[in-house]
Amino acid sequence: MIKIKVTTFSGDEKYIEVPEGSDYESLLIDLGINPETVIVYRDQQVVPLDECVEPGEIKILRVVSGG
Amino acid sequence: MEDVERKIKHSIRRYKMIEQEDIVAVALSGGKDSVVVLHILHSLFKDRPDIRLVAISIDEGIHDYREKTLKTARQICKRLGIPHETVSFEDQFGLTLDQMTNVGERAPCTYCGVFRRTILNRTAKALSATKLATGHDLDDEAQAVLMNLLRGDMERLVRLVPAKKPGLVPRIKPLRSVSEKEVALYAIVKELPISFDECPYVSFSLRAEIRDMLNVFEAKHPGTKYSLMKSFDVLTKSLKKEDVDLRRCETCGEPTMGDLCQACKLLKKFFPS
Repeated sequence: MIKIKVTTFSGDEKYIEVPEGSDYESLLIDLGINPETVIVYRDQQVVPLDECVEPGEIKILRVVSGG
Repeated sequence: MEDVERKIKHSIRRYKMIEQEDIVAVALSGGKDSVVVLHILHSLFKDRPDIRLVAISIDEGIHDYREKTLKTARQICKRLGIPHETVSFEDQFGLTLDQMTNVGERAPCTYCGVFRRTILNRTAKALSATKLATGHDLDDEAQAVLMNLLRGDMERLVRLVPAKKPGLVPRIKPLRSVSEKEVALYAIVKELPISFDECPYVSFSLRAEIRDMLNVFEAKHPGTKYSLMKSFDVLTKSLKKEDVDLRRCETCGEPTMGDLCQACKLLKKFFPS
């Protein structure tokens, strides 16, 4: 399992574990977040959602407006 | 990112959005969509001496929100060297949106939509603009099409089809084939100043439900939004109305279907005399 820290747009921080080889898209789906509505940052860089998750820290930014 | 630029160029060409000698007014709120439209039109046309860009921002008078996005709007115009005009509800109509909402019976989005449309058209004309560009993206357009279909509002559906109407500066939507997420990514990668603030009057309306539904479909079946717009484009060929003859509003002279335009009708409630 890979352990990572996730900071979401609401400012929540949590630690989660995902199986080796998972990508960021499946991580978002596990968190109940629609991949169409957010951008994922790692080390201040946008990461493609089909990339494999690496241990460390990510930030999730909501980009789809409300209303 | 080249993909986003290519799609936008393709839309501009395909729908003949911008032609020689055009003066394009860009409706600039400071949100990501409008900042990206301005940036892309600037990069596409900056070397064309016959095409000019000008930005219009509207200060509706929304406390603690619009100040911030207007700052972003000024910043991007300064950076790109684009003339920038800001027009306020208060100057044009005597009331801010906050005041209208406090006093009036209608929803804030009704006042905002009607008055904003009027000001944009009026200001675009005053600046001799031949086109008015807005930041509507693929998500906005797909939501509008599906919402009008589900409500059975064919009149509004038909209104999404561009038509020439005397007195109205033609609207163009260069981002209509780019999703909201792609627009956000573009803005972030190009390090454009954008404001992620949300309007305090945002309501959880039917549109929000449709937005969520479309995003669920898009995630499961990539291409859903694009397909919906493709179908709409085919449908519009049969939907296309005759270019309507509009009258002039008795009070302000803006184009309207009836005697008074929507803006003047709403204003009459605030200032009855």
